[in-house]
Amino acid sequence: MSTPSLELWNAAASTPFSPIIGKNLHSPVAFLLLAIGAILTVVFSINKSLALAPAIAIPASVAFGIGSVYALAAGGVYV
Amino acid sequence: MRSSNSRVSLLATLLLAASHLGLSLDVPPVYKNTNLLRTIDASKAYVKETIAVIIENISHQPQTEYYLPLLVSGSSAVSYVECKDKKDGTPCTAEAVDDASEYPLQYYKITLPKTLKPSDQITLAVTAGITGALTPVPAVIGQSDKQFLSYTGAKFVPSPYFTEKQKTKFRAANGEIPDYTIHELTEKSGYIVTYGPYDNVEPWKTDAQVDEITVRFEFTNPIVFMEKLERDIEVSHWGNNLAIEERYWMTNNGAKLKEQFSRLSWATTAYYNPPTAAIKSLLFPLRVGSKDAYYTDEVGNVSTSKFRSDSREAILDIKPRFPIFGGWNYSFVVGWNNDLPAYLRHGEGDGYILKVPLLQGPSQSTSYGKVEVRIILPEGATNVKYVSPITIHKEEQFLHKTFMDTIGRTSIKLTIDNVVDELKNRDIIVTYDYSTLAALRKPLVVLGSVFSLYIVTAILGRIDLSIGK
Repeated sequence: MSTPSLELWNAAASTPFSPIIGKNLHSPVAFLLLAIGAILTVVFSINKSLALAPAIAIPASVAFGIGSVYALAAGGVYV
Repeated sequence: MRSSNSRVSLLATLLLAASHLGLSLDVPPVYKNTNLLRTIDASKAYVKETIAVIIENISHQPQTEYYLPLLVSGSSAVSYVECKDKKDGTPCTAEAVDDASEYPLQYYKITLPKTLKPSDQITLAVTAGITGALTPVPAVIGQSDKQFLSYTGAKFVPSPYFTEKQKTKFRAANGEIPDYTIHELTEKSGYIVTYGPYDNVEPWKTDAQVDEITVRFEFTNPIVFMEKLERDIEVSHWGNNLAIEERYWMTNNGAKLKEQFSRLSWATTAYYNPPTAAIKSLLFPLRVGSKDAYYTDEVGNVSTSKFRSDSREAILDIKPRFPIFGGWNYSFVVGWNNDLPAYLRHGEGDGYILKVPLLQGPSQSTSYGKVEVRIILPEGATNVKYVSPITIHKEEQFLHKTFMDTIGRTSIKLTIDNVVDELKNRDIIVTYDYSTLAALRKPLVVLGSVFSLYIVTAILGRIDLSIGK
């Protein structure tokens, strides 16, 4: 990154920071992802086969990972 | 009115300064001040001194450096000095002359915006903020009494150059000026006391007669002084948020209460809202778009606050739990959130540019003893650089650990001493690199932990724990 300056700031006027989702979507997205994670966990708990891990455990982990970050943001803890 | 203590103090200060002048700093007499107008603005909780001076190069060589001393007597201290070419507004640099000795005359070396050829002139406008120069006289007053402040300074600017014409204007907070030193060519008009114009003022010399001015004037506002301010600016890419929290340790430097505080008297006078030297409320004008404001103190949430935010303004109006009279202290916390896109832009590659106000604070005239600004960037941000609008006295880089952090968030702490509110609302620009991998660190940590749990559960589920067949 170049030396900070007002010129650098002005030059980047066309590229403001764009979040993946807006603040108003933190709650619903977090709820959806955590719900998906919970459902997949239930499915996994019924049949704890290692062969099912890639199909169920990985999507569930991804859902929990991103969902937990957004859940905290929805609660006002901006991590 | 002349306060004998302040007179002796000033005289000692000036003599000490003069005695040091010849030893420490040798200023060549290469200029003359053709016309000098000094304005001492005491309408705030500190003194703002503005010197507009036409200088002429009377040497035979081109010149670029001009020296200007400011009198820092007693407990007063210079907060900032700024300079510009008055005609075209070109800024020039003013830096304090490094002098290790006890030097009450603080010299500033001004680098002119352009080289001044022999016989050429330039008009400089120098502004300085000086704290601790106003003293309440009397030092103790009744709860409903008027507060008066006293200022004592030199009649002439202690310039090392010959001055053809100079004038000093003292601007009080209002027209109630019961006492002021009367010299030749002294005039009071409304809330302004004018000294001069005086012709042919000699350069400052050790054996010069010290002419001082003392003005005592009514000051109906409190003298808000923040002994310390801790300001956190926290950037969250995932949360799309810029969180600002300010922790204040406030005191009122005005006249102290003569007797015990009377709640009854305070409540009965509150209906007609008379001017008071106590701090009753503070108004924080925030940037447009600010939201989720809060106000707490050591006890907890303080409900006597109002927050108004719309498309034109955002104002946080807080009322402390009790009026803060002279010498009383109060510490509190205010905070708010902003959407990040207004403050953060994407630069080249993984680079980001952050532009936020370094200092905000209340709209009431305020001075600060020590300001610590912590800029907390996302975890994994690297290559942090910044440009500050105010001189930083101390800088630290550290890792700030909080929720969901593994290595801690990259943070910088900037410490500034003796600040006045004239310097607020100026933006600091910070650049940093933040890769996608670093951004994914938090969900990846959770992902890894949860996935490990699944695998462990699956393995444990396959272990046969039944009692033998």
